[in-house]
Amino acid sequence: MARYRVLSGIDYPPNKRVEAGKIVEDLPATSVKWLLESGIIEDADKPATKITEPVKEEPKVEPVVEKVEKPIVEDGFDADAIDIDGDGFVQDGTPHQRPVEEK
Amino acid sequence: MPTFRHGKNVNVFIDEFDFSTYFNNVSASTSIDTAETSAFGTSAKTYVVGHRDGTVSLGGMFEGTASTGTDEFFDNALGNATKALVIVAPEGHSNGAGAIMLQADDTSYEVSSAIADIVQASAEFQSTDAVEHGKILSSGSTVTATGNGTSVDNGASTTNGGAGFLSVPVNTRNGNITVKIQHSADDSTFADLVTFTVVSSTTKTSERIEVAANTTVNRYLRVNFTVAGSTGSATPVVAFTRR
Repeated sequence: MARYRVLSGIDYPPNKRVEAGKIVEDLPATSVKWLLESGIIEDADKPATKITEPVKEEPKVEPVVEKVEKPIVEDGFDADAIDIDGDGFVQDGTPHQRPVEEK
Repeated sequence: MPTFRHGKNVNVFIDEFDFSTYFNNVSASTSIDTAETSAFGTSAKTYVVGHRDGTVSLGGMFEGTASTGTDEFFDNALGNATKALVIVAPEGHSNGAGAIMLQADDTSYEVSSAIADIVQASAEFQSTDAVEHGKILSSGSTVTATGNGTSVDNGASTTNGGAGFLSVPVNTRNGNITVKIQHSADDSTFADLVTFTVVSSTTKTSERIEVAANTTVNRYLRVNFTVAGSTGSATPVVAFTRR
């Protein structure tokens, strides 16, 4: 006698009830065709339909690129400028002209 | 010969309340957006359809009794984030009768009074997933024991799922009740299609459960009750809409 695995609860005559996961042999012959077609039962002699858990996608994390802030240096400014002409000023004649700092 | 219905038998269920005796006017409207596609060279306008939409309007008598009256319900429903579940049964809620169902937001509530008339109330619901037409599977008759309802024949199966609605306006049963909608191709063997959340002892409740698109819903539908406890009864109203 054919055996079927029930995939969804069924009530069938005469006044029987079978829950999902159970295997039955006494289903009415007239009901087997549509139950198979609807996916409510399956052949118990074949591997059970695996209930596949929905694949949870890991949330995509964009790589964080740390921005290295460059020290703000004004154009033309030379912190290591030296007083070549000995007038007590560095970077003479530029917007950055300044007195020589004592070290 | 057409079969016409008198309006006196209309029933209105909203969530777990039977408001049939509070209203005397109900209107369910369904519509669909259209976008015009007429172009040069055409002699008549052409359209494509878009989203379905629907509303239900209710009119009747004001009732201010705490907890059970329409006033408290509609005052709370207005602006409530939880959608109201509305079942309108235009030909009465007998088994197999037509049912108009929607989950909706209460968008207006009006109380009006005139010196020589009864105090009136009206409300409007805006559907959030269209207004759907289906069938009553459980008429709200008293349930006291485990068993099945009479099956309702759709004439053919459908293949695009649907939605089941449950409203339990009266429940004095001292045990849990499990309500299911079952379907069958032969009206003999029935498989579970929708299983509602277990209705706890003496709890009035309502619920809507979707059957996924592309799911076959077989030709015959019926309701199945599994009743625990020893005394008391419930009057579940169950309806299903196919898609």
